[in-house]
This record gives sequence, structure tokens and C-alpha cells, in this order.
Amino acid sequence: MEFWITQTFNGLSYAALLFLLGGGMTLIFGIMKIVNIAHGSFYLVGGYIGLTIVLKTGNFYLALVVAAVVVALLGLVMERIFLRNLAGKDLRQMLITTGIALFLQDLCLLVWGGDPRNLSVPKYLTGSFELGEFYFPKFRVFMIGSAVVLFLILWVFQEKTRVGAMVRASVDNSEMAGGLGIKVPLVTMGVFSLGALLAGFGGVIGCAFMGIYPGLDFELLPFAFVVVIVGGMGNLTGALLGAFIVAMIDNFGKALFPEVAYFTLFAPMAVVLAVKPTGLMGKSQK
Amino acid sequence: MSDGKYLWITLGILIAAAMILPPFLPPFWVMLLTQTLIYTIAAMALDLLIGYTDMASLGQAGFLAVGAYSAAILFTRYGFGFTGAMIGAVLLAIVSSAVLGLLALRAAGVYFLMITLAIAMVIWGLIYRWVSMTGGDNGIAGILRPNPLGIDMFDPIHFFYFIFAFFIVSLVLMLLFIRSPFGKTLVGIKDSESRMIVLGYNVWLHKYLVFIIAGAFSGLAGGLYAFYNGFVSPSLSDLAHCMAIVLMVTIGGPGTLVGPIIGALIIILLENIVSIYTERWVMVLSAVYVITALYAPQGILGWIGRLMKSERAA
Amino acid sequence: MTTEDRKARIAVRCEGVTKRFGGLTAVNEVWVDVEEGARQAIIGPNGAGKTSLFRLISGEMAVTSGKIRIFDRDVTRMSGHRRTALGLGRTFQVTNLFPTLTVAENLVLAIMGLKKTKYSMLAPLAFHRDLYQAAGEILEMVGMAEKSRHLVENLSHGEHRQIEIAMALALAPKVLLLDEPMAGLSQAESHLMTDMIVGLPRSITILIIEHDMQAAFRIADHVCVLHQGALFCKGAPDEVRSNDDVRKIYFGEG
Repeated sequence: MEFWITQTFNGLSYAALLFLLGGGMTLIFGIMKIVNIAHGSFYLVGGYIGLTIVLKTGNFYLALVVAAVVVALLGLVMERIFLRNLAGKDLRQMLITTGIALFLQDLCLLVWGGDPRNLSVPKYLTGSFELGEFYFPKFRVFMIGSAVVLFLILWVFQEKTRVGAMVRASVDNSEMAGGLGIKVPLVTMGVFSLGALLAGFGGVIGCAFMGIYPGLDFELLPFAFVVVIVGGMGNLTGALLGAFIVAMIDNFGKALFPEVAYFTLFAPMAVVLAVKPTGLMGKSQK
Repeated sequence: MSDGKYLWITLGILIAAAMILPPFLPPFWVMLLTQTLIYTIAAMALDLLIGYTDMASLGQAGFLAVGAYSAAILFTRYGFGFTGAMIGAVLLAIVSSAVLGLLALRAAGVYFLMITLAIAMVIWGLIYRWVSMTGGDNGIAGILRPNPLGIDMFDPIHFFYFIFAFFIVSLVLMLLFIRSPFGKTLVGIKDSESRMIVLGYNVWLHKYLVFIIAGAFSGLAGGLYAFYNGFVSPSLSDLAHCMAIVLMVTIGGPGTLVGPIIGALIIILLENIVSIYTERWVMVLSAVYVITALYAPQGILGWIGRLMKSERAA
Repeated sequence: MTTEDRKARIAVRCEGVTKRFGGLTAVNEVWVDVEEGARQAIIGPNGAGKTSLFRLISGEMAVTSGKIRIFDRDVTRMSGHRRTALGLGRTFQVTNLFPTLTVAENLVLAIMGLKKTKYSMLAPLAFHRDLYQAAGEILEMVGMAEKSRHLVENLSHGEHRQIEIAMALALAPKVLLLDEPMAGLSQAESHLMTDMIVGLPRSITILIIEHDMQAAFRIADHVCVLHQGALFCKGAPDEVRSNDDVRKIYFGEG
């Protein structure tokens, strides 16, 4: 019993991280129909910047904010300069984002070196909550909490605000949205930055949770992919659902069958592809 | 078809150079050229998908890895010889591409790109975590080169010509393939899939078959790589590797079959030579990615082809 | 037996064909017989229901009431697919060819669509002389034989339209529906296209919709005039051309 509760809790905290990563990617995919290979790099850069801020100032929240903002700006620049004119040219977009990802990865290697680093968690987030016989590490609770809060903010923004409606219109039919006076290029740039921001934010949290090292960006990408594929590309709620499913299966898989754990990750993706290729909450492709 | 003449000339030059130069080059260069030939097989296979059928399958490195690991495991663990290991490599690549192709072809367009990449990533993860079988991060070492007819394959030049034979056979098979009726249907699918459906073609089946064929050749390349390198590691299926093969096809010129040869040469030389001069060779590579995507998506041969077209028009 | 005695088969018969969309009647009780081998033009002002009638005959749309027969067979409930198998071919207003292949290869792909040869992976396509032979014959019919080695993307719009008809012929149709073949063609190109259609073998029955009156009257043995979905009048080209009422619906009341 204890095993299941602990594992479920661990899975939830892992899901929070995956949501931050996959949610950003699915938003970007939804608005631009591109697969951003540099998405892991947003996470990586965010994590490293967060690391530096904490080392210099000791302030974890400052690190979160600065990293998120810097990465958002990075995304903005990237979209504006490199991706703007390649709408619909899938392969070329993937080549460009790959180039940028490699560049960022090497840059991080240059600045922060090749050794794995760790972000120390602020004092008030260390330790655990005790609930009967169970210990719930405070930081993991924080992770789950922030992911839920962010999801709610984004959901309200998407569904209830005017700007959110503009985003939804641009995603559904960018030509018509443009015809209605919506500044689609601006919306696109904004959503892209938002996606980057989420990843950057996730990078700081992830750095505190499990450390950071060069190459992590490419290692995490498949997880983001599977979250997006399972949840439905472009769907925020789907990303939450997908993150949950992927995290749970991976977590239990690692605990129960460590050797083929990655393979058990593959199972939900395979099932979704076989039954509903556009993802659990995705629109039908026709 | 005089447009195609420059392709044949290029191919002729490349083959002639490959046959004549090696005895005059230092061993390091001979090894690089050997590696180039191996990657060319995989890149040409990918060109069948990207350039001829317009299926941007990004996960071909995954099938290369399947081939490499199959050969490695069969050789080191089960005592297969070179021939047995190679046959195993190709067969396992065929099986995995047949199974995974069923999933991948559920998607189209950019979804297909993403899913094929995810498939390669999953293969990577499988290799990485199935430690008892694959050695995980440590990889598998001790893959010894064969000794056909008593010729020592550890001599780089001997091995080069050995691999060259495989390259020529693959090249000929693929040339025949693209000129065959089936090959032409692939171009038809690229040009107008809707029309092909109306004409009575089972487009899905055609795509599925070429996916498997590309997987088979990638597996062949992987097996050869295992024997070339003597060592295999999970990085064979990682994202950077997948995209590198895509870049080889793109920078050389997709849809030409000759382009990938040039592309493989460029990328391998870049990775090996530039790294001698600077530690930041990855940044150079990233620049190549960006510039190719922005300014030369049809690659070098595509650029030459356009030049020749405008010359004729003028 | 003289040719007049031999009773001609009816290739296409429309019996009271009607199509309604909600409150709108696009085609209204049209009765038409098209003899085998005939060239039947369907003309009428815009919105007269010509394309709708075509789509009902080809099976793209289902009738609201009435029957359609092809060679005496009731196809009213049959899908377009199966009508194609019965020998019905049609061209489209928007050309849809294979630009990076040669004209001959385009035709060969059309011919090969229902053959096993399409799965052959090793012998070059060029070895299959029979396919190229068949392609050549069709290209002769549409006057494109000299361009057979040209890449389709290098040809003009008019030539594309000719190849489009060739592609329809490649499926060996017994009845050919031509939907505005002159659309977008210059005077000279229209002339060539008309000559080509006139020269098609009489083993093929042709129905043609056209706005280009000159072309339509040159090609047709019989003309049907549609007006507001209904059959306004029919007859030989000269009769229709000199009919004052027909002129009126085009230029007058409409």
C-alpha cells in the first residue's frame, strides 16, 4: 500500500515536470504546427540560468522569474528571426530548430561546463510533510502545485479571456482570424514565447529536482513528444492528461520492470496511435 | 531527360574518385571515406522516403541502430560470423520497420515527422535501458572484422574496398528501384497523392513498402557500421544522429540519390575535420543546419539543377 | 442491314432526373437520351444546372428523384467508383497531373493503376513497352504524341488540359464527361482542343459542358439547353443556334 501511494505521488511530481515541458511544446505545435526540436534547449537554458541566479543571489523565486523571462525572450527572438517565413515547411523548420538546439547545447557546454550540476532547493522547501506514515517531500508538493496553478492560469486565459479567444481563433483558422483583424503574427510570437517560458520555468524546477547536465535537453525531448502525441497536439488539457499518463507509466514501469521501462513508455503512444492518431484530446485530422 | 545528365556525371566522378584515391591517402582519410560510404547507404535509403515519396521519416537512424546492435549482439554474444550477423541485422531492421511502420503511417504531414522521430527516440531508450542485452550506456565492444578469403580487413584500405562493394550493390539496387514501375508510383504519390488514389493505387501500401525497404537498407548500414567501428553505443539512435542523416540528404540534394552521397561526405568531413581545429565544431554544424534550411533546402545538387534550368531558359 | 436500320444503343439515359437542395431545385425533371457514339453538348446560362447534372450522372452527387441509366443499366444508386468501373470517365475543371514526370510517364501511371505491374521493383519501367505503347496511342488521340518526353511542369496550361483528357481516356471509358475543357484556353488553344475532341473515336460517347459556344456547336451532334435546372430545348446544333428563345434566355430574361 505504501509503495503505491509513494509511487503515485512520485509519478505526480514527475507529471508536473512533464506537463511544463510538454505543455509548452503542445502550445507551440498548436499555433505554428511545428515540432520544436529546440524545446529541450529552452528547458536546459532555463535550468542553467536558474542555477546561476541561485548561486549568485540565493533567491529561488528570482531564479524562476529571470529564467522564465530570459527563455521567453529567447523564444521570441528565435520565432521572429528564424521561423517566421517558414510556415508550413515542416522539414526545414525541424532542421532550423535542430541547428538552434545544437547551438544552444554547445553554448551551455561552453559557459557551464560538462559536469552535472545541481540547484539547491531553498530551505523552506526542503524536508517533507508528514501525513500519518507517509512522507511527502515539500519540493515535490511545490512542483505539483506550480504545475496545477500554471495550468489553471493558462486554461482560464485560453478559455475566458479575449486574448485567449484570439489565440484559439488563430489556431483554428489563421486566415480567417487575420481577416477578422486579429494580428496573427503577434499572436504566434506570443504563444511561442509562452511555450518557451513554460519550458524555461520547468528547467529551473527540474534542475532543483534532478540536476542538470549537457545532453539532458535531447534526453527529455522524447518524453515531451510522447506527452504531446498521447495528449493531442495543440491541446493544453491533453498535455496535462498526457503528462499524467506518461509519468505514471514511466514511474511504475521503472519501479516494477526497470529494464524495459522505456518500452512501457512506448505502449501508451502506440495505443493512442493505433486507436486515435491525433491524440486523446486531439481534433480529427480530416 | 538531359536535366539528369549532370547527376550521372557527378555520380561517375564520385565513384571514380572512390575507386582510385584510397591507396594514395593516409589511413585516417581512408577510414573517413569508409564511414562515408556506410552512411551514404543510410542516407540514400532516407532519400527514397524524403526525396522520392515525400515522406519525411526522421527516425531512420533508429533502424540503423537496430541493425548495428543486432549485428553486435549476434556476433559477440551468440557467436555468429560476419555473414550471419549481417543477415540478422537486415532482417531485424525489416521486422522493426514493418511493425513500427504500421504505427507511423497512421499519421501524415508534420505528425508523421514527429512520430517517426519519437520512434527513433524510443529505440534509443530501449537500447539504453535494456542493459542486460545491450550493455546500456556502455555499449557493446569487441566486434571484429571478418576475414574473407584470408584478406586482413583490419587494413583500412582492404576494408574500404570491402565496404565499397556493399555500397555499389546498394546503389545499383536503389537505382533500379527508382526506375522501376513501383519507384515511379512513389513519385506519382509525391506529385499528386489524390490523383493516385483516384487511379486505383493503394497509396498506403506503397508508402508502407518503401518505408520497410528504407528500413532494410538502414539496417544494412548499421550492421556494416558495427563492424567498421568495432563498437556500438546508444547514441546511434539519438536525436542528433537522426537529424544528421536528414541533413545529409537535404544538404546534398533530396530526390537525386546522388545528393546523399555528397551530403554524407560533407557532414562526416565536417564532424571529423572541423573538430580538429576547434572545440566548437558543433556550432559550425548548427550553422550548417540553419543555413541549409533557410537558403538551400534542395541542397547543392538542387542548386546546380536550378542553375542549369535557368541557363537553358535563357 | 444499313446503318439506319441498326438501332443505336442508348449510352446515357436520364429519366426525370431531379436534384433538390432544401428549397432550391438545381436540376428539374430532366429527360435526355444520349446515343452511343454521339457527341452531346449541354449548354445554358450560368446556374442553369449543367455541372449539377454532370455530377449526378458521374455519381458524385445522388439524385433526389428520377433514374440514370448507363447502357441500360440502372446506376441511380451506384457510387461514382463503380460507375467508373462500368466505363464512365470524366475530366475536371482543375488539372491534377504529375508535374515532375514526363507526359508519357503520366499516362503510364494512369494505365498502370489497376495492373499488377505497379508492384514490380527491379526491372525499369521503360522495359514495359506495352504500357508505353498504350500511352502513345492515347497521346496520338489527343495530339500530344510529340511532347511525350517533356516534363509536364514545362508545358502550357492548354497542353495540360489536353493531357487531362488523355488521362481520362487512359482508363478506357465508354462514356466521357468533359467538364468545360476550354476553360482558361486562348482562342488558338481552344481551336486545337476542339479539333482534338472532334477527332476522338466514335466508340466513345461524349457529353460536354461548355460556355464556349463556337466549340460546343462544332463538336456536338445534339445540343441540350438547360435553363434554371430544367431542359429548355434540345435538338441539332443549327436548330438550337437559330432558336430565338434560346437567344433570349442568354441575353434577355435569364
